[in-house]
Amino acid sequence: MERGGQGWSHWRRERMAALTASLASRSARNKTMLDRLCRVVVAKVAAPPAEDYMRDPLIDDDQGFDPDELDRYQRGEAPDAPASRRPAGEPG
Amino acid sequence: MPAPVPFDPESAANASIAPRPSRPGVETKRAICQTCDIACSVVTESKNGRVVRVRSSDNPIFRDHICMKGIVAPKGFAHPDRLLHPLRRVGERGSGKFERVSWEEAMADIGARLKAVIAEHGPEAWAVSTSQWNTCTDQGLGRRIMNHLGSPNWISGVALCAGNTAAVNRLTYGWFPMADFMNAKVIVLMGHNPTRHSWTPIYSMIRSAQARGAKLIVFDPRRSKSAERADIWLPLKAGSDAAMMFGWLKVIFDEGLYDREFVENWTVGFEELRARVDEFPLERVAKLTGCDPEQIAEAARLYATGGPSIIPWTPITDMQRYSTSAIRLQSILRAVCGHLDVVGGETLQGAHPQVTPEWVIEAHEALPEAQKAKQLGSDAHPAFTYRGQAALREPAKRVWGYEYPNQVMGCFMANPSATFRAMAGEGPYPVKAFFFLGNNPLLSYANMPKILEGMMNQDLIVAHEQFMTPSAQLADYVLPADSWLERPWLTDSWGWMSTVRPGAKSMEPPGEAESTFSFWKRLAGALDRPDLVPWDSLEDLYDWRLRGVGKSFAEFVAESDVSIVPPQFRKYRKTGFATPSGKVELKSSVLEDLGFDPLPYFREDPAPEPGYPLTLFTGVREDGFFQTGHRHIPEMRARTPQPLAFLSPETARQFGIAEGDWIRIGTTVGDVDLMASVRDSMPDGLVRIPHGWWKPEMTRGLAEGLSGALKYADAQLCRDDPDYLDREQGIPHLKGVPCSLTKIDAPREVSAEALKHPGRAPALTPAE
Repeated sequence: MERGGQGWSHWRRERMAALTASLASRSARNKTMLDRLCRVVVAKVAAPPAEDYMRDPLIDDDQGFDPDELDRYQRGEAPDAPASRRPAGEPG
Repeated sequence: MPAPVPFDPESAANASIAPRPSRPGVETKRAICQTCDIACSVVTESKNGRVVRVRSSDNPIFRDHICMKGIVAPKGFAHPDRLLHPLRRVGERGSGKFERVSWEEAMADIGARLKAVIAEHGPEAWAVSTSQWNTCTDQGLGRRIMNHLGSPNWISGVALCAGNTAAVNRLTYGWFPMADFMNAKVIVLMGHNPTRHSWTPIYSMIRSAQARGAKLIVFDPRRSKSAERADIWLPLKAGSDAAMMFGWLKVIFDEGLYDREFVENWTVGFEELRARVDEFPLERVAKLTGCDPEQIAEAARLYATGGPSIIPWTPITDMQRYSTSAIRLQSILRAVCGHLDVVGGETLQGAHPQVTPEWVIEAHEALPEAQKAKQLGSDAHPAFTYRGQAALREPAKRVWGYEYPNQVMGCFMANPSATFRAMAGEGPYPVKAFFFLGNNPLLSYANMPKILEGMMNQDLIVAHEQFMTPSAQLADYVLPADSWLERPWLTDSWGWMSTVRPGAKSMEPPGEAESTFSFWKRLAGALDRPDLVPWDSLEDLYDWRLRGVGKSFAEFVAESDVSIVPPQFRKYRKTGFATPSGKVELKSSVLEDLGFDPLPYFREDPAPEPGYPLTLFTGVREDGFFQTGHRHIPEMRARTPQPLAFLSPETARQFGIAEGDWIRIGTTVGDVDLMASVRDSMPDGLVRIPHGWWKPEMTRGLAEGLSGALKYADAQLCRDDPDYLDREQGIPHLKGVPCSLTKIDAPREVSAEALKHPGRAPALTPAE
């Protein structure tokens, strides 16, 4: 039984954790060839499992919004935009 | 909670990268989503100066950290009702009538009126309710100004969500740890249920951990998605978590499954704790929790011996009548089983060594001791107040280098219930000025009627908000706030982790919306103390925080989206723990000196109350909303158009309720109306209520019900009488309150909507 951070196994895991933190830092920077190599490794390490029991098309199919559509929405002109609920006299 | 930086150091192979192609006319920025408390690193895409898309980061360690709330953010912040200009109340308080004023006019009057309140009642008469989860660019400036002026009365929702957990963890081993999900072999979720759209990175990391063989143990009265995927599901009675943990410790001690070397060398109070644990034989624990004793023992053995194991932060334990004991029991389990500060366990990270933490900006040393002693609630419920944390100042300085490490903002707070009573004129002194920023206090704490009474008794109320919330409707001034798309951010996860991340500003704020930084800078000037906020801009402040790194904020955000500190483990072997004894205090000297039971304990339910035959479980997060926000976004409301109360088929049958019926849930404090949703995942006798409901489309003003808040907000059900407050912290019990249930007609606005759209079925949320 592994206990309290003792023994060879823990020592090895601690060294590996430090190494992977270093890989992640370089990977995040992603400038040099070595950074990019680290990113390749980290991309695999950090990959979530393919199976996602809560997949959602809202995320999978998202392509964002059209800027004009957002402008119209902001002005209250889009079909799903509510009419202004500001009380009389309250400015926008 | 912030998203831990994930790693599994043992699975590197066959890697590949598929870079996303840039799209013509699209400008991308690395940003941090601040829609909820997770703070996912994301990428924004802008066209014509407007953010049109939020997607997950290109950095593989943040891959897939995106939920629907982040995706709809560009539309949510473009809502026609977004506050764009400062507003000043013109009718009676609560009339909902405002007029437009300039920032300069508003702040000059606010400054003058706050000075008058301080002159008449003292600086402690000024209270602020906020959370840096939501405001983000506060950066500790609010506390800084309050501390220099002399007010200790800062309150926050983190008093019952993570912040209090940080403070109570410090009582046992001096720091609040972050679970190492990616290297853990056993994960214990105590009522927590991370999903695709809530606590998204945690959801992904748990799936990853399970895919590589980690075991999952879930405490939950309902059969949640996490429970369905657990190796062991303990369907305990709501609010019996502490009893369950006593049962685990009984098994672990009796069977010798604890880490003897660690306990002998690094803990104090083991024998006293063991005697307390002996009061909980499994037969008693089974009776208290409603779980099978063999299953309890099996789970305890797996946690103790299958590790390294983690018990990640959970919002459930934060909100119970023995929350302090329950959080301490989690801490004790981590320690005695040898899972503390080891790879795959609970890591004590400290602050980033080169980045100035927000708690340094907060300047707690500037608040005189006499003013600290006035902090509301610190007499009766001191755990997370200055008084409760005072004995940890020297140890924290010794071990972590800071006297006031305000982890998760939760270590030096006033008590919310005591503050609202003082606002209502029932405290040791009056509170007459109340500010709230990115916060909807009326709906965010227990005993909403008392909060309303307190707010109606104020001389000055100031709100800094994106939308006209029910609380803002009661304010004297409502000032327009920016959104996370419109500001840069530098986050150190409020000291929970050593990792620091920058997020770029993606677009200009609309109208006259300004950041929290800007609000505090303006207020410091209005109070004739511009010296308190000497930084010219947010970027200037971030440059100052990063001066130890040797690069500016602009350079940092251009170069990377994270600064990771190389992990160190078992640091206590060199420094000891940041407690008065220098060891893990199984028996807490701090609690003992404050006059409390130094050992964890369990409080059984009060006697049943006539007229309240069911049990209420409230404070529940719904996927489409964060806290009291986001009900104005069409895509989110299409998924959850009405507040839903979940109940079991048998409970529904007993009360003659069918799916879609409207019901009224009541407690001794008040009642709310909800639509019934009958779920076979629910245990009999329990009603599960969502948190924070109001309807932005409903009429504003107190007489009209504050946009539905007085009809739907769960805060009206939450008690804060002594039987339902944690003794040491004074936070409310939200997980197991007696309640009544009555069938009612559908609310008028719901019936009207149904008449407009006959045949349209309510689109119920897919979450449990």
